[in-house]
Amino acid sequence: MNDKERDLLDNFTKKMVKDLPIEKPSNSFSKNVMNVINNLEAVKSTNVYEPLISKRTWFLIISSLIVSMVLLLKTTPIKMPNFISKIDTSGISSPFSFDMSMSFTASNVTLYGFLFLAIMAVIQFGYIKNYYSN
Amino acid sequence: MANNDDDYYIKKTLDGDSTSFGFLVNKYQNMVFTLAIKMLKHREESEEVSQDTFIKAYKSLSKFNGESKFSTWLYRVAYNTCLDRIKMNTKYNSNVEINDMTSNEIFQAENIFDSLENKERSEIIQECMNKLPEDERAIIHLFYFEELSLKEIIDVVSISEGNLKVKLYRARKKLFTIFKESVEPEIYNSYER
Repeated sequence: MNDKERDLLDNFTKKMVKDLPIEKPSNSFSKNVMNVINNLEAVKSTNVYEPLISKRTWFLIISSLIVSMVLLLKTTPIKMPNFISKIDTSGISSPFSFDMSMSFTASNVTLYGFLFLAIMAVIQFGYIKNYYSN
Repeated sequence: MANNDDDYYIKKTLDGDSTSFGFLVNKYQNMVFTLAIKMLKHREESEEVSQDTFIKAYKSLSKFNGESKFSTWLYRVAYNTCLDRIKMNTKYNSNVEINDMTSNEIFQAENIFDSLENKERSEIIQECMNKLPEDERAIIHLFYFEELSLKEIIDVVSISEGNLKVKLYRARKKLFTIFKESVEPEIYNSYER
Protein backbone atom coordinates (compact mmCIF):
# COMPACT_ATOMS: atom_id res chain seq x y z
CA MET A 1 0.00 0.00 0.00
CA ASN A 2 1.56 3.32 -1.09
CA ASP A 3 1.30 6.76 0.54
CA LYS A 4 -1.53 7.89 -1.74
CA GLU A 5 -3.66 4.87 -0.87
CA ARG A 6 -2.79 5.30 2.76
CA ASP A 7 -4.01 8.93 2.70
CA LEU A 8 -7.17 7.95 0.84
CA LEU A 9 -7.92 5.29 3.39
CA ASP A 10 -7.19 7.71 6.21
CA ASN A 11 -9.61 10.28 4.79
CA PHE A 12 -12.27 7.69 4.09
CA THR A 13 -12.04 6.28 7.64
CA LYS A 14 -12.31 9.80 9.05
CA LYS A 15 -15.36 10.45 6.89
CA MET A 16 -17.01 7.20 7.98
CA VAL A 17 -16.36 7.55 11.69
CA LYS A 18 -17.22 11.24 11.85
CA ASP A 19 -20.61 10.34 10.46
CA LEU A 20 -21.52 8.35 13.53
CA PRO A 21 -23.84 10.04 16.03
CA ILE A 22 -22.81 10.89 19.59
CA GLU A 23 -24.24 8.28 21.93
CA LYS A 24 -26.12 9.52 24.95
CA PRO A 25 -26.88 7.58 28.13
CA SER A 26 -30.34 7.62 29.71
CA ASN A 27 -31.63 10.87 31.21
CA SER A 28 -31.25 9.51 34.72
CA PHE A 29 -27.59 8.57 34.23
CA SER A 30 -26.07 11.57 35.96
CA LYS A 31 -28.59 11.34 38.79
CA ASN A 32 -27.83 7.62 39.29
CA VAL A 33 -24.08 8.24 39.43
CA MET A 34 -24.50 11.03 41.96
CA ASN A 35 -26.84 8.86 44.07
CA VAL A 36 -24.16 6.17 44.28
CA ILE A 37 -21.53 8.78 45.15
CA ASN A 38 -23.74 10.35 47.82
CA ASN A 39 -24.36 6.90 49.32
CA LEU A 40 -20.62 6.26 49.35
CA GLU A 41 -20.07 9.55 51.14
CA ALA A 42 -22.82 8.80 53.67
CA VAL A 43 -21.31 5.39 54.45
CA LYS A 44 -17.85 6.93 54.69
CA SER A 45 -19.01 9.59 57.18
CA THR A 46 -20.70 7.00 59.44
CA ASN A 47 -17.70 4.66 59.28
CA VAL A 48 -14.97 7.08 60.29
CA TYR A 49 -12.37 4.90 61.97
CA GLU A 50 -11.96 5.51 65.66
CA PRO A 51 -9.61 3.31 67.62
CA LEU A 52 -11.31 1.26 70.31
CA ILE A 53 -8.81 2.49 72.87
CA SER A 54 -7.86 6.13 72.50
CA LYS A 55 -4.31 7.39 72.84
CA ARG A 56 -5.22 9.00 76.15
CA THR A 57 -6.57 5.71 77.53
CA TRP A 58 -3.46 3.88 76.32
CA PHE A 59 -1.32 6.45 78.11
CA LEU A 60 -3.31 6.00 81.33
CA ILE A 61 -3.17 2.18 81.11
CA ILE A 62 0.57 2.10 80.49
CA SER A 63 1.28 4.74 83.15
CA SER A 64 -0.79 2.92 85.77
CA LEU A 65 0.89 -0.38 84.85
CA ILE A 66 4.35 1.13 85.24
CA VAL A 67 3.41 2.83 88.50
CA SER A 68 1.87 -0.34 89.93
CA MET A 69 4.88 -2.41 88.85
CA VAL A 70 7.29 0.02 90.46
CA LEU A 71 5.22 0.13 93.66
CA LEU A 72 4.95 -3.66 93.66
CA LEU A 73 8.68 -4.08 93.25
CA LYS A 74 9.47 -1.51 95.93
CA THR A 75 7.02 -2.65 98.55
CA THR A 76 6.70 -6.43 98.10
CA PRO A 77 9.43 -8.92 98.77
CA ILE A 78 9.41 -11.13 95.66
CA LYS A 79 10.45 -14.73 95.72
CA MET A 80 11.69 -16.13 92.40
CA PRO A 81 10.15 -19.45 91.38
CA ASN A 82 12.18 -22.54 92.08
CA PHE A 83 12.97 -23.35 88.46
CA ILE A 84 14.83 -20.04 88.00
CA SER A 85 17.10 -20.66 90.97
CA LYS A 86 17.93 -24.06 89.52
CA ILE A 87 19.38 -22.52 86.33
CA ASP A 88 23.16 -22.61 86.34
CA THR A 89 24.36 -19.10 85.58
CA SER A 90 27.96 -19.59 86.69
CA GLY A 91 29.19 -19.64 83.07
CA ILE A 92 27.70 -16.25 82.25
CA SER A 93 30.30 -13.53 82.46
CA SER A 94 28.81 -10.97 80.11
CA PRO A 95 28.67 -7.38 81.39
CA PHE A 96 24.94 -7.50 80.51
CA SER A 97 24.30 -10.46 82.75
CA PHE A 98 22.49 -9.83 85.99
CA ASP A 99 22.46 -11.37 89.39
CA MET A 100 19.84 -14.13 89.35
CA SER A 101 19.81 -14.31 93.10
CA MET A 102 18.28 -10.87 93.56
CA SER A 103 16.51 -10.45 96.79
CA PHE A 104 12.95 -9.95 95.50
CA THR A 105 10.37 -12.68 95.73
CA ALA A 106 6.87 -13.09 94.34
CA SER A 107 4.42 -15.87 94.85
CA ASN A 108 3.79 -18.22 91.97
CA VAL A 109 0.14 -17.18 91.94
CA THR A 110 1.11 -13.53 91.31
CA LEU A 111 3.55 -14.47 88.58
CA TYR A 112 1.11 -16.75 86.77
CA GLY A 113 -1.63 -14.17 87.28
CA PHE A 114 0.40 -11.53 85.44
CA LEU A 115 1.35 -14.01 82.74
CA PHE A 116 -2.28 -14.97 82.03
CA LEU A 117 -3.37 -11.33 82.19
CA ALA A 118 -0.81 -10.45 79.53
CA ILE A 119 -1.87 -13.36 77.31
CA MET A 120 -5.57 -12.54 77.67
CA ALA A 121 -4.97 -8.86 76.95
CA VAL A 122 -3.01 -9.58 73.78
CA ILE A 123 -5.64 -12.03 72.49
CA GLN A 124 -8.60 -9.84 73.38
CA PHE A 125 -7.19 -6.62 71.90
CA GLY A 126 -6.58 -8.43 68.61
CA TYR A 127 -10.01 -10.08 68.67
CA ILE A 128 -11.94 -6.94 69.58
CA LYS A 129 -10.09 -4.82 67.01
CA ASN A 130 -10.83 -7.38 64.31
CA TYR A 131 -14.50 -7.58 65.39
CA TYR A 132 -15.03 -3.82 65.16
CA SER A 133 -13.06 -3.50 61.93
CA ASN A 134 -15.52 -5.85 60.27
CA MET B 1 -11.06 27.56 30.03
CA ALA B 2 -12.59 24.08 29.93
CA ASN B 3 -9.55 22.64 31.68
CA ASN B 4 -9.66 25.43 34.25
CA ASP B 5 -13.27 24.53 34.93
CA ASP B 6 -12.26 20.91 35.36
CA ASP B 7 -9.45 21.84 37.75
CA TYR B 8 -11.81 24.00 39.77
CA TYR B 9 -14.41 21.25 40.18
CA ILE B 10 -11.76 18.58 40.81
CA LYS B 11 -10.29 20.70 43.61
CA LYS B 12 -13.73 21.32 45.10
CA THR B 13 -14.51 17.60 44.98
CA LEU B 14 -11.20 16.76 46.65
CA ASP B 15 -11.99 19.35 49.33
CA GLY B 16 -15.07 17.32 50.21
CA ASP B 17 -17.78 18.86 48.02
CA SER B 18 -18.99 15.69 46.30
CA THR B 19 -21.74 17.55 44.41
CA SER B 20 -19.04 19.33 42.38
CA PHE B 21 -18.28 15.98 40.81
CA GLY B 22 -21.76 16.21 39.25
CA PHE B 23 -20.44 18.92 36.94
CA LEU B 24 -17.75 16.54 35.66
CA VAL B 25 -20.31 13.73 35.27
CA ASN B 26 -22.61 15.97 33.22
CA LYS B 27 -19.77 17.24 31.09
CA TYR B 28 -18.18 13.90 30.27
CA GLN B 29 -21.07 11.42 30.40
CA ASN B 30 -21.62 11.36 26.62
CA MET B 31 -17.90 11.03 25.93
CA VAL B 32 -17.50 8.09 28.32
CA PHE B 33 -20.74 6.44 27.23
CA THR B 34 -19.85 6.72 23.54
CA LEU B 35 -16.49 5.03 24.12
CA ALA B 36 -18.16 2.33 26.23
CA ILE B 37 -20.81 1.60 23.61
CA LYS B 38 -18.16 1.47 20.90
CA MET B 39 -16.25 -1.13 22.88
CA LEU B 40 -19.08 -3.15 24.43
CA LYS B 41 -21.81 -2.78 21.77
CA HIS B 42 -24.57 -3.19 24.37
CA ARG B 43 -26.43 -0.15 25.57
CA GLU B 44 -27.37 -1.36 29.06
CA GLU B 45 -23.95 -2.80 29.73
CA SER B 46 -22.31 0.39 28.46
CA GLU B 47 -24.40 2.44 30.85
CA GLU B 48 -23.34 0.21 33.76
CA VAL B 49 -19.69 0.44 32.76
CA SER B 50 -19.94 4.22 32.34
CA GLN B 51 -21.39 4.46 35.83
CA ASP B 52 -18.56 2.27 37.19
CA THR B 53 -16.08 4.51 35.37
CA PHE B 54 -17.31 7.65 37.10
CA ILE B 55 -17.41 5.95 40.49
CA LYS B 56 -13.86 4.63 40.04
CA ALA B 57 -12.77 8.10 38.91
CA TYR B 58 -14.41 9.65 41.97
CA LYS B 59 -12.72 7.19 44.34
CA SER B 60 -9.28 7.69 42.80
CA LEU B 61 -9.57 11.38 41.97
CA SER B 62 -6.74 12.15 44.40
CA LYS B 63 -4.43 10.09 42.13
CA PHE B 64 -5.12 12.42 39.19
CA ASN B 65 -1.93 14.48 39.11
CA GLY B 66 -2.83 16.87 36.29
CA GLU B 67 0.00 15.71 34.00
CA SER B 68 -2.56 14.88 31.32
CA LYS B 69 -5.96 16.41 30.65
CA PHE B 70 -8.75 15.21 32.93
CA SER B 71 -10.62 13.92 29.88
CA THR B 72 -7.61 11.77 28.88
CA TRP B 73 -7.32 10.39 32.41
CA LEU B 74 -11.06 9.67 32.45
CA TYR B 75 -10.78 7.96 29.06
CA ARG B 76 -8.08 5.70 30.49
CA VAL B 77 -10.32 4.75 33.42
CA ALA B 78 -13.21 4.10 31.00
CA TYR B 79 -11.03 2.09 28.59
CA ASN B 80 -9.68 -0.13 31.38
CA THR B 81 -13.14 -0.60 32.88
CA CYS B 82 -14.44 -1.67 29.46
CA LEU B 83 -11.52 -4.09 29.01
CA ASP B 84 -12.23 -5.60 32.44
CA ARG B 85 -15.85 -6.13 31.42
CA ILE B 86 -14.83 -7.63 28.08
CA LYS B 87 -12.47 -10.06 29.84
CA MET B 88 -15.45 -11.28 31.84
CA ASN B 89 -17.31 -11.94 28.64
CA THR B 90 -15.52 -13.69 25.79
CA LYS B 91 -18.42 -13.41 23.38
CA TYR B 92 -16.98 -10.15 22.07
CA ASN B 93 -14.06 -11.84 20.37
CA SER B 94 -13.93 -10.94 16.72
CA ASN B 95 -11.49 -11.78 14.01
CA VAL B 96 -11.32 -10.11 10.62
CA GLU B 97 -9.05 -10.99 7.78
CA ILE B 98 -7.16 -8.01 6.33
CA ASN B 99 -7.05 -7.71 2.56
CA ASP B 100 -4.94 -5.37 0.48
CA MET B 101 -6.75 -2.58 -1.35
CA THR B 102 -6.22 -0.24 -4.28
CA SER B 103 -7.01 3.46 -4.72
CA ASN B 104 -9.79 2.46 -7.09
CA GLU B 105 -11.42 0.27 -4.47
CA ILE B 106 -11.26 3.10 -1.95
CA PHE B 107 -12.90 5.53 -4.40
CA GLN B 108 -15.66 3.02 -5.15
CA ALA B 109 -16.31 2.42 -1.47
CA GLU B 110 -16.46 6.16 -0.88
CA ASN B 111 -19.00 6.58 -3.68
CA ILE B 112 -21.19 3.88 -2.19
CA PHE B 113 -20.83 5.51 1.19
CA ASP B 114 -21.94 8.89 -0.20
CA SER B 115 -24.93 7.37 -1.93
CA LEU B 116 -26.33 5.89 1.28
CA GLU B 117 -29.07 7.64 3.22
CA ASN B 118 -27.85 9.23 6.46
CA LYS B 119 -29.62 6.80 8.76
CA GLU B 120 -28.66 3.76 6.74
CA ARG B 121 -25.10 5.02 6.55
CA SER B 122 -24.81 5.38 10.34
CA GLU B 123 -26.27 1.92 10.86
CA ILE B 124 -23.88 0.31 8.40
CA ILE B 125 -20.81 2.05 9.85
CA GLN B 126 -21.90 1.11 13.34
CA GLU B 127 -22.25 -2.53 12.28
CA CYS B 128 -18.84 -2.40 10.61
CA MET B 129 -17.26 -0.85 13.70
CA ASN B 130 -18.84 -3.56 15.85
CA LYS B 131 -17.03 -6.20 13.83
CA LEU B 132 -13.61 -4.78 14.74
CA PRO B 133 -11.79 -6.12 17.81
CA GLU B 134 -12.63 -3.93 20.81
CA ASP B 135 -9.16 -2.41 21.25
CA GLU B 136 -8.99 -1.36 17.57
CA ARG B 137 -12.56 -0.07 17.79
CA ALA B 138 -11.54 2.11 20.72
CA ILE B 139 -8.44 3.41 18.95
CA ILE B 140 -10.39 4.26 15.78
CA HIS B 141 -13.02 6.03 17.87
CA LEU B 142 -10.48 8.03 19.88
CA PHE B 143 -8.43 9.02 16.83
CA TYR B 144 -11.11 9.81 14.26
CA PHE B 145 -14.22 10.60 16.29
CA GLU B 146 -12.79 12.30 19.38
CA GLU B 147 -9.74 13.54 17.42
CA LEU B 148 -7.29 12.77 20.21
CA SER B 149 -3.61 13.07 19.37
CA LEU B 150 -1.42 9.95 19.23
CA LYS B 151 0.20 11.00 22.52
CA GLU B 152 -3.18 11.27 24.23
CA ILE B 153 -4.25 7.87 22.90
CA ILE B 154 -1.00 6.37 24.19
CA ASP B 155 -1.90 7.76 27.64
CA VAL B 156 -5.31 6.11 27.40
CA VAL B 157 -4.44 2.68 26.07
CA SER B 158 -0.89 2.40 27.52
CA ILE B 159 0.92 1.02 24.47
CA SER B 160 4.01 2.27 22.62
CA GLU B 161 3.73 4.77 19.77
CA GLY B 162 4.96 2.19 17.25
CA ASN B 163 2.42 -0.34 18.43
CA LEU B 164 -0.35 2.26 18.30
CA LYS B 165 0.50 3.24 14.71
CA VAL B 166 0.47 -0.43 13.65
CA LYS B 167 -2.87 -1.02 15.37
CA LEU B 168 -4.35 2.10 13.81
CA TYR B 169 -3.16 1.07 10.36
CA ARG B 170 -4.54 -2.45 10.74
CA ALA B 171 -7.83 -1.15 12.14
CA ARG B 172 -8.31 1.20 9.17
CA LYS B 173 -7.72 -1.62 6.72
CA LYS B 174 -10.00 -3.98 8.61
CA LEU B 175 -12.77 -1.38 8.77
CA PHE B 176 -12.51 -0.81 5.06
CA THR B 177 -12.62 -4.55 4.34
CA ILE B 178 -15.65 -4.98 6.58
CA PHE B 179 -17.41 -2.04 4.94
CA LYS B 180 -16.71 -3.40 1.48
CA GLU B 181 -18.10 -6.79 2.44
CA SER B 182 -21.14 -5.43 4.23
CA VAL B 183 -22.56 -3.23 1.47
CA GLU B 184 -24.72 -5.16 -0.92
CA PRO B 185 -22.54 -6.89 -3.56
CA GLU B 186 -24.96 -5.88 -6.32
CA ILE B 187 -24.62 -2.19 -5.48
CA TYR B 188 -20.91 -2.60 -5.26
CA ASN B 189 -20.80 -4.33 -8.64
CA SER B 190 -22.82 -1.55 -10.25
CA TYR B 191 -20.10 0.91 -9.26
CA GLU B 192 -17.40 -1.41 -10.50
CA ARG B 193 -18.74 -1.34 -14.01
